[in-house]
Amino acid sequence: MDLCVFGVDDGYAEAIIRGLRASFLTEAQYQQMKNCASIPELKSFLEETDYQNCLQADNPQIPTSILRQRLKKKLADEFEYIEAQSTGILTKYLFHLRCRFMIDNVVNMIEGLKNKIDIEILLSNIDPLGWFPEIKNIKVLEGDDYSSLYRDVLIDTPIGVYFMKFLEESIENLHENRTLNDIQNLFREMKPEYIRTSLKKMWLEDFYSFCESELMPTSQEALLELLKFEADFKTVQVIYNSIGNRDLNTAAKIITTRKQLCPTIGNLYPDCEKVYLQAMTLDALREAVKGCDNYRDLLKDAPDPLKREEFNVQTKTLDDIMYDDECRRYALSFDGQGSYGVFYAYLKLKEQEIRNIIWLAEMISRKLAKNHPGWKKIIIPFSHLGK
Amino acid sequence: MSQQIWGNPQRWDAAEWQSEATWADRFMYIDPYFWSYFGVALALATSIIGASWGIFVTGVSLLGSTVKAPRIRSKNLISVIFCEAVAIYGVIMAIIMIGKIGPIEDIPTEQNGINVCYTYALYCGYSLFWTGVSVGLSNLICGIAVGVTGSGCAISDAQTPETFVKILVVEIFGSALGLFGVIVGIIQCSGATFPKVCPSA
Repeated sequence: MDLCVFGVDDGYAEAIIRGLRASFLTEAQYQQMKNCASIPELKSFLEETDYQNCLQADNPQIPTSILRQRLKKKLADEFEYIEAQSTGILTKYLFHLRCRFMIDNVVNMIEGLKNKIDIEILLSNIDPLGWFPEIKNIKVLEGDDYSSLYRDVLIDTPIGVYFMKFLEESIENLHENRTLNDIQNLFREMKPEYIRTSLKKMWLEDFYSFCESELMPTSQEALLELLKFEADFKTVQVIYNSIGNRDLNTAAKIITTRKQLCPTIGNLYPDCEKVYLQAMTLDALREAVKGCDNYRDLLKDAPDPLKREEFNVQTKTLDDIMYDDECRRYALSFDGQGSYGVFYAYLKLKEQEIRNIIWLAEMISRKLAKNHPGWKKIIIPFSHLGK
Repeated sequence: MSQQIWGNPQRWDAAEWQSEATWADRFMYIDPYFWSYFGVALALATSIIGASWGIFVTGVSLLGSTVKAPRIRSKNLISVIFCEAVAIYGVIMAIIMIGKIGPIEDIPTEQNGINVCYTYALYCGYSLFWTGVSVGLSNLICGIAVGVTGSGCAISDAQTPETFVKILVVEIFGSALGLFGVIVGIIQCSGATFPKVCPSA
C-alpha cells in the first residue's frame, strides 16, 4: 500500500529528483570534456550542460577551488529546494543527510583555527551543503581553550550530539589520573582524520536507526542495504588503512583504534568482527570478509597496503574499487519508485560527478599527455547500467 | 399479523407488527427504493473516489518531473485522462440506473397482488444495489491502479524518454478493468426497471 499513498506527501519531491536525474553528464560528454585543451574551454563546455547558470559570473580562467565551490553551491541550492518542498518525515530525513557535510565543515574549521588560518577564509571554504546558522559561532576563545569550544559552542549545533558522544568516548580511553591539561592536549593533538572518521561513524549509526524506525518498508528496503554497504566500506577502509600504519605500532593500539572507528551496523558486524579486528595483513582481511556479498571479488584486486610506497597514479587503490561498486549500487537504487533511497543516491552520485569534473579540470590544467593513466581514473555515474 | 404491508401507510404503527416481526422480516421490508438509490450512490461515489485518488497520485509526480523536464507535460496528461474516464464510467452507470427508478402508480388492493408487486419491486431494488457495488468497487480499484501506474509513467518519462509508450500499455490494461465493471453492471441492471403498473399475479 506504500505506493498508493506515497504520492500524498512525498510524490513531488521524488518526482523532482527524477527530473534531476536526467541532468547527469553522460559518457559522451565526459569524452568531450577530456578533449578540452584548457580551462576556459572546459568552462564553456560546462555552461552548455545543466551547470549553465552557476558559472556565468566568473572569468574564463577559473581556478579549480572556485570551480568546486560553484558546483557544490549549485548542488546545495537544488537540495535546499527539494528540502523546502518536502514535509514531515522527509524533511527530517533530508536534514539528517546534510549532517554528514556539517561534520566535515566543523572539523575543517577547527583544524583551520588550530593552524591559525583567518576565519573569513575558513567560512568561504565551507561546503555549502553543510551550512547551518550556528557555524559562525565557531571561534577559539583565549588560551586555546578547545574543551570549552567543544562544550559550549558545538553542543548547540545540530551535530552537537555526535561531538558529545565522541568526547565521552575519548575521555574514557585516557587513564585514570587525568587532568584538565591532559584533556586539552588530547584535543589539540588529535588527528583531524581520526575525529572525522569517528564522527561520521556515529552519524551513520544514528542515520541507520532513524531509517529503521521512521521510514516506510519500501524506503527501508532500499536504504538499509545501501547504508549497510557504506558501513562495510568504512570498516574495510579502516582496517586496510591501519595495516602497516606507522602510528599504530602495538597490536593493542591497533585493535582499540579499529574498534572505535568501525561502525556497528552492516553485514560484517557482528559476524566477522573478531576476525577482522585481528587482521594484520591483506590476506587476513580477505579471509575475514569472504563470507559476505561480493566483497571477496572486490578485494581480490586491491593492492597490498604494506607496499604502500610503491603506489603510483596507475594503481587502482581500494578507494577506487569501492567507489566503483558504490556507484553501481546507487545507480540501481534509482530503479525503484516510492522510496527515499533516491534522495540519498542522488546526493552521492552528484558528489561523484563533481569530483570527476574537478579531477578532469586538474588534469587539464596540468596539461598532461592524453595517454597518462590518470585520465581513466574517473568513475562515471550510471555507466554500469549500460546506457 | 396483518398481511397488508406494502402500500399501507399505517403498517409501522401496527402493534402486532412491532411485537411479532423477526429480523428477517425487518430486513425483507427495507424499502426497495432505498436499495436502488443506495446503489446509484455507490456506483457514482466510489468510482469518483477511485478516479480522484488516481488523479492526485499521478498529478503530483507529473508536476514534480515537469520542473526539470518540461517536455513530458502534454504527453503525460493522458494518464490523467485515463483516470478521468473511470469517473465517467461511474456517471454513465448512475444515469442509466436512475432511469430505471420510478414510482409505481397503481398498487392492487388484495394481498396476493400486493405480494407479487412487492416481490417485483424488491427484484429491481436489489438488482440496482448490487450493480452499484460491482461497478463502484471495480472502478475504485481501477482508478488507483491507473493512477499509480501513471505516476510511474511520468517519473520514468522524465528519466528516460523511451519508456513512456511501454508504460502506457500497462495503463491501458489497467483501465480495461473499469470497463469490465461497467459491462457487467449494464447487463446486471438491464431488466430491473420499476414497473409503472404492477404485474398481475
